[in-house]
Amino acid sequence: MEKKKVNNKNIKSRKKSPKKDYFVYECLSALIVTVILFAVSFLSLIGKDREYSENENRYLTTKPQFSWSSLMDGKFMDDAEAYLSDQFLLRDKLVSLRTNIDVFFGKRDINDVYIGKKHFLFEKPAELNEARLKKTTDAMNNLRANNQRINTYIAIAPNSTEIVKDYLPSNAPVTNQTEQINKIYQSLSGYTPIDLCGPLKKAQDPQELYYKTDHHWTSKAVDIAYAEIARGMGLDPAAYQYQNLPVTGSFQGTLSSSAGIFSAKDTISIPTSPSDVMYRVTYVEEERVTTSVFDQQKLNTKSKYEVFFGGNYPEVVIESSAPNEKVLMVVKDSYANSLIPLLIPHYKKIIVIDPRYYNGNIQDIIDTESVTDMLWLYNANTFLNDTSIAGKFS
Amino acid sequence: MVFSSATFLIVFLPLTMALYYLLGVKITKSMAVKNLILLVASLIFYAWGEPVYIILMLLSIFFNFIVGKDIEQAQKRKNKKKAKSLFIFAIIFNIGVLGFFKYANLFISTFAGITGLGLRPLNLPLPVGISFYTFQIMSYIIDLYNGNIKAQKKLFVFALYVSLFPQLIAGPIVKYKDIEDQLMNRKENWGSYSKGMNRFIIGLSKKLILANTLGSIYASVQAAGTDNMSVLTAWIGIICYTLQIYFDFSGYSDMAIGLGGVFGFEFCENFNYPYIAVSITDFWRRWHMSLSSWFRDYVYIPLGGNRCKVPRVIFNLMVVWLLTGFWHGAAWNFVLWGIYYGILLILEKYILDNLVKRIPKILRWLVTMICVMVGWVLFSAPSIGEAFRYIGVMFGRASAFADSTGSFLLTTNFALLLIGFACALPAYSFLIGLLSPKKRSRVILALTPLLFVLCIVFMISETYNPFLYFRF
Repeated sequence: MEKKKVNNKNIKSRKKSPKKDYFVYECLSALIVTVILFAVSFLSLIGKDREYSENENRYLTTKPQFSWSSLMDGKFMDDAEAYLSDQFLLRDKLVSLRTNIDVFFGKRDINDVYIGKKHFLFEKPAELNEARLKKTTDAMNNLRANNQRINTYIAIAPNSTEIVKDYLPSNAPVTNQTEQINKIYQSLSGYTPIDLCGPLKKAQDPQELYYKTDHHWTSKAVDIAYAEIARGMGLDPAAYQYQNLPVTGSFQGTLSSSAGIFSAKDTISIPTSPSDVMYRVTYVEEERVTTSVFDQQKLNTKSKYEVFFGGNYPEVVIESSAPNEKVLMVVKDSYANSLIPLLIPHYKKIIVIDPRYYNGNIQDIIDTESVTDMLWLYNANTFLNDTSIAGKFS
Repeated sequence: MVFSSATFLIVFLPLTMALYYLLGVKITKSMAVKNLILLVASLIFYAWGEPVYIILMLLSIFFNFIVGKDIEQAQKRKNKKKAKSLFIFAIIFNIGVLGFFKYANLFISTFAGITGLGLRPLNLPLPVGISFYTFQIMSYIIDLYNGNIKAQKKLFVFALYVSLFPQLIAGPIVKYKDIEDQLMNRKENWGSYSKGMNRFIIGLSKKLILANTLGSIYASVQAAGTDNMSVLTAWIGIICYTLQIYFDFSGYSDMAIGLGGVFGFEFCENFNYPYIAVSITDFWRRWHMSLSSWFRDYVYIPLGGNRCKVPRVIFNLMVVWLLTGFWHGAAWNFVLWGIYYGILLILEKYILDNLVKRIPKILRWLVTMICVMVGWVLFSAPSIGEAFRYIGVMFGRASAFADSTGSFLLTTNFALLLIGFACALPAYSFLIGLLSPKKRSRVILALTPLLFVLCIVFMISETYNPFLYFRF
């Protein structure tokens, strides 16, 4: 019996039966997998550690320090896992390969970013939360009621999902921001609303109005918004003739980072300075004074949009040689950073408050600085998600 | 530690394999050395995730090892009474430990909720794998008491049985009697190694490529809440979850069986294409088979099984399914899920039996799958109320049949869903069967290494974590 079996086997192997063939290939593929397993392990352990990831804009986990306490509470294990994956061979390449695979198989939203057509990325629009909005507008109405003599304006910019609709991925669920913004305007009393949706929608090349890789608006959108705001606030736009000059062509913003897609680059432009007006900028809490609203250094970093004012600060005061006595307070988010430079020639003093970072008493500033005008300048997503206005103004 | 982590794949697995094969198989050629290496590796594997609870597992191992020996001795001396009391003691101990660590919180908070007493739950974190290893230990004790097996004489071999890392934290639940021999005599060979390695990669792919991706879709659907959910969204969500839980769980079993093979073990199968089932009975013959067989052998049959009068059988079934539900988690929706299956199975057995036979197979499959998906809603919902609202939306209690959220989900995940279907149903086996044997071999040669690389890509990219301080 035993012999017969062996014989059979021999015959089979001579014929190279499919089963045997399959077995050989199974062994081969297991061998390849084993080689990959050990190679990856070996390369990971000898690989040189990276300290910083440009794409992820953060310091990577370095070799975890061993201690008994970190072992007992599991911190050591978590750190080890983070270390191994953070320092993994070709990490950035693998991430971008993954997003390419996802997009290839049809995925069009990654980490709350819509992957649009022609490399256009969109921030997923915010939902309108009635309770949160009411808290915000109540606080704003309250402030307005206490400051009747100040001319108060509000301009809320729509986001790219509302304007660059042609580039959205098909079927992408978006909110109607024009409706949302109108609803905000209606909940405010004593605020002169400035409509930015209409004019931005009418623009010829809407895809030029927002960065492809970042959630901010571009200088082209700012031009349109400036014209509208100037008209709404009774300013003379002709008093300041400027041009936009591109300062970088390699901007890859927040949406690129969130989605892990770095296929496109944007250009940032800044306006030329007014010729007849001098100004100085004071960062109040930082106790720093400069002569420019632009921070050139930021162009060498990842967050290039911060070329405007160097980013967001709690309180910035711009004093200019403009021949009038008007004092403007701007309450804003980062969309305003690229527009405020255009307002400089129109006011003797502009006080810029970012409620997300500001912790002082705003009424005090209004009183001591004799503010004459007030502009609220936000983009819809930030305004709808904001909780700091209600917190700081009530 | 989990199989789909960088720590496991980069450090633990290569190191364990190298030690096992170099030191155990090549140099010493000693079963004791091989087992010792696996035991130490398994304990590190467990301690990595549960540095404190490893003490609990070790205590459980010591206790049951000693009691097991005592039971055997008592039986040898024909001291039936002593054997029985030892046996009952061991069962109470094991169920007590499981009950305390897994269910104490639930009972305390439910009791406090009903009575209005201000009792504070213990908030003990659940020891990973306790449901699995306790059931394995109980299979040892019960089979020992029934005289089906002999007591394990070596503590470290028994410890290895309980803690064996491939199946330690998510099954299959391997009965001692099935693996007793392999613990002492097993031969590693190319056949089991390569089969195991390929199986491991298939499981890893199910987990990392399919389950995680599908899971994130269901998570987003669930997070949006049922208030504005359309019928379409609800169905896409639950289909994704249905696929996710299968790929997750069966993927883990594949990895366990595969890793077992790598170290020369042969574990029982745990899944057999459950989503081609044409009845609920059929489904449970294909889903988590090691658990069903555990309950059948150690609860259902001892209770009398189906060799009793109808009311008793119904009672037996309900006990088994109540326990099955409870085993899956310490929350009332798992109990409800168990009862749901108990009722469905009883209905199928006694009332719908004749009707079912007359329905075409495809329709039976469809009805079965809908029942299974409704079951998964009960299983996965954060609360029973939310589960019923979700089921309501699935069957039309919604503001719209389809909305842009639903159609966006459908169009952007269509390919993924198709791949999911193809892998959950035996489409792969069918397609590969169409190829000539020679081509079939080539496919497997290319497939597993490719899948492994993809797994690494998916595992690492999951940890992509951009810091967006410049967000605003």
